[in-house]
Amino acid sequence: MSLEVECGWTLLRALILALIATPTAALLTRSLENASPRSRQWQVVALAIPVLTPGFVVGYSYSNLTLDLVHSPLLNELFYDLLLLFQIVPVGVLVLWMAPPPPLGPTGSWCLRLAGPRRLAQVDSYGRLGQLVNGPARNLVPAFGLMALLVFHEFEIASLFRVIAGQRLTPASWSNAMFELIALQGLGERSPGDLWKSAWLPMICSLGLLTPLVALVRTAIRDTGTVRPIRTPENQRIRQVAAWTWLAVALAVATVIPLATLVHDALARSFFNKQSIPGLARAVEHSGRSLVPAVIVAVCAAVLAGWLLQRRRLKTLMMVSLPGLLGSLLLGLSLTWLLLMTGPVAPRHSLIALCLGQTLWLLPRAALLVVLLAVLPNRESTHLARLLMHAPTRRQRTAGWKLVWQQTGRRAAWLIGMLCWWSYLELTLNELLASPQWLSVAHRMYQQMHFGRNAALSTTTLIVMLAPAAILALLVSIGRLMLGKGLGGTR
Amino acid sequence: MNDPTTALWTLDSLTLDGHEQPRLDIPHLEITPGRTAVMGASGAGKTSLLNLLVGFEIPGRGQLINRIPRSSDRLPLFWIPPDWGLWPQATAREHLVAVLPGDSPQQQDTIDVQLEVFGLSERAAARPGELSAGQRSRLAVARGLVANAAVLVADEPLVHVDPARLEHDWETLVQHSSQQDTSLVFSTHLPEPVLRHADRVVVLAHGKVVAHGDVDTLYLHPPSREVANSLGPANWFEAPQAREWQVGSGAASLCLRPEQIVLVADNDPTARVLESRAIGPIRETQLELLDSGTQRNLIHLAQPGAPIPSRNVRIAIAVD
Repeated sequence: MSLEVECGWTLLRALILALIATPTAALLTRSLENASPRSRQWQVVALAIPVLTPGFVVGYSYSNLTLDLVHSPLLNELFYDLLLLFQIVPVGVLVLWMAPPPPLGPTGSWCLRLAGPRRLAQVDSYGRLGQLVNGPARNLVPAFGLMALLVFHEFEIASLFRVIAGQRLTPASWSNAMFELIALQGLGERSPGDLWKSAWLPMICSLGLLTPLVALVRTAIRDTGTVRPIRTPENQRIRQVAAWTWLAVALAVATVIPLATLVHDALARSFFNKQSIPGLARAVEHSGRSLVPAVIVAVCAAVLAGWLLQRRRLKTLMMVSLPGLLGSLLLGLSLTWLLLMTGPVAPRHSLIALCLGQTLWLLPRAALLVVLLAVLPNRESTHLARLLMHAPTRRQRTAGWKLVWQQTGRRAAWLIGMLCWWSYLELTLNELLASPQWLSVAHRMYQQMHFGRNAALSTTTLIVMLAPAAILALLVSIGRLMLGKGLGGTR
Repeated sequence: MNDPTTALWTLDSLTLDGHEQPRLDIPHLEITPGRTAVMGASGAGKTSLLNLLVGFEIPGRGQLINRIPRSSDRLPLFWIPPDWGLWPQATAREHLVAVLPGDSPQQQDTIDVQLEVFGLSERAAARPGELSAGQRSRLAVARGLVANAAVLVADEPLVHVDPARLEHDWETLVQHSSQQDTSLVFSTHLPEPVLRHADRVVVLAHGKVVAHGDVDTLYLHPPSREVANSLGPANWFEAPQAREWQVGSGAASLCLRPEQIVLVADNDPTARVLESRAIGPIRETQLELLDSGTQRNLIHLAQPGAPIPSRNVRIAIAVD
């Protein structure tokens, strides 16, 4: 298949999966909102674990299964799609959960409904589509866009699942087709011009997924509702059961089974013994080191997107987001070429090059998340908390900090945490741009996969998943120590 | 202690951009310590002005100088926003605990007192989503008072409170701020709280200050019909009308409040009563001049012996 055809198939997959994922994410979000605090905590954990499981490890664990599916390309595709769904739905839930309420709240919608369809038709912007876009769909569309974008740019699991079925490779993946094109160019069978001509197509597809969101970005900045929809108790039990079923299946398929396969292999080879301790220590150290550029990159992308958004420079934001839409491979190659030309000023294999590349790569996602998460639904209450932060008495200042954290800090932390995770496990740009000491832990895992060191891979995977969780727990503990547990001092 | 001679805020050549025209356009305005009301019809710019004062919005052009005195133990400024600005995750009690300046037992007692005074004791453990609009409104005011700021800016406070307890809550707000030496800047479109509680008033229309000054002076001598009506029922006479109706002889227009007018049925009538109806403590009477047949409505206090239709009367000015 040509790159154009693979691009078309990838786009189709992205749209179909996002269409399935959006109502699923909405259902899970409702379930989260209605759940008791304790149940909500468990649901969040169950949602987060499949996202925290590196996709390529999951793909690798199932690679034997996909080899079995070599004669059933459709099943191979469906299984790949299922794994992608488990990875993208939690992202959609995060967007829907954190996004501010839409401008057309439940009462407004109800009034429009009471007004009747005839009168409704006279109000152009609040016709059926307007009602949807300004109402419940305001946050669903960005969630859909982000999830579709993630599917469109996924290639790590696809590359591990890719088998020859008849005359073609499946699952289709434009990124892998691009890899093959680059390999052919290396062999002199394609000119660099062909490569760049082909590069425009995925970028336009990515833009296509983001373009409808621009209008929503504008409304998100201008109109923010204040009323959260009232959740009716009807069918709550069915929803809860459906949500828990989804979470359990996702947890089992996307995390437990792949990790259990690896751990079983490790146990079979008696990996967990005294000799394995230095290897464990190296994996811990490597994970910690990989988090440094990941945090820098996440903060840079979020701050840049937030800064441009705050100054209403939406066109500039779109422009700087374009390179990221090329995908990590083309972006990495372009940067390698550019930095090679500039030579000593910015060496191509360095922390700076890595951070630059990954920041550009993350910017489209950061822009979308910043728009949704930074638009505050309770601006007045946040301003009041900020007034308290500057109070002369320590007690009021502490209360102010605490309230600001609850109103805005927590949302920002989620945003940066998600960007950080994407950057932490990014492989292509890391391979192309990082100096040897900044090669990520994902690189180590790939090597372990390459040499079939499943036992070491299982340990590294667990450490990779636990390292951010441990840091998060540490930060939460420090925060609680500094600010106290509740709002403080209730009698 | 707030120095009454130093302005808390000075606004100079200030504009606040809007979608089509500036939301505010104020050449010069000073807001002094004490109790200042900001009045105006809906869309006049009251909320925009208060948002600027508390720093929630930033002016497009011009200067806004904040001279609120800073002290080492007191919050300079606090706010009661129009949407109450409650913290969704905090209970009613936690709202008050969060803004309490200190931990002394007396201060802790303030919380119980304020919850009691504002009728929220039984809802102390409720979060904003579980409170009615009136309760949220009262909670926002209680929080504003517990914060003990040097200046409290209140944007249409108590607007959702039921009439039965409205005056009680206003009295609490005003008395408490007086006891704490807190300057109060509040917006409203109702004349009663302004006349009862404010020392000074700023009247806005279409984003511009149309009057600013002492409440009593503006009440009796408003510069325009618009200002006159915003401060309560008024009989506005342009200069020729004042002469025609024999209530004034100068070249300036005239405002007569209901309590300044008495309809007298004596031997020197100038007008005939066409219709008269009571509206609570005041009456609206339609008169026709005997000479010219010109008609107009007149608002005056209800007196014993209502004007009888078709009886001839004279307009007497009771108080200058």
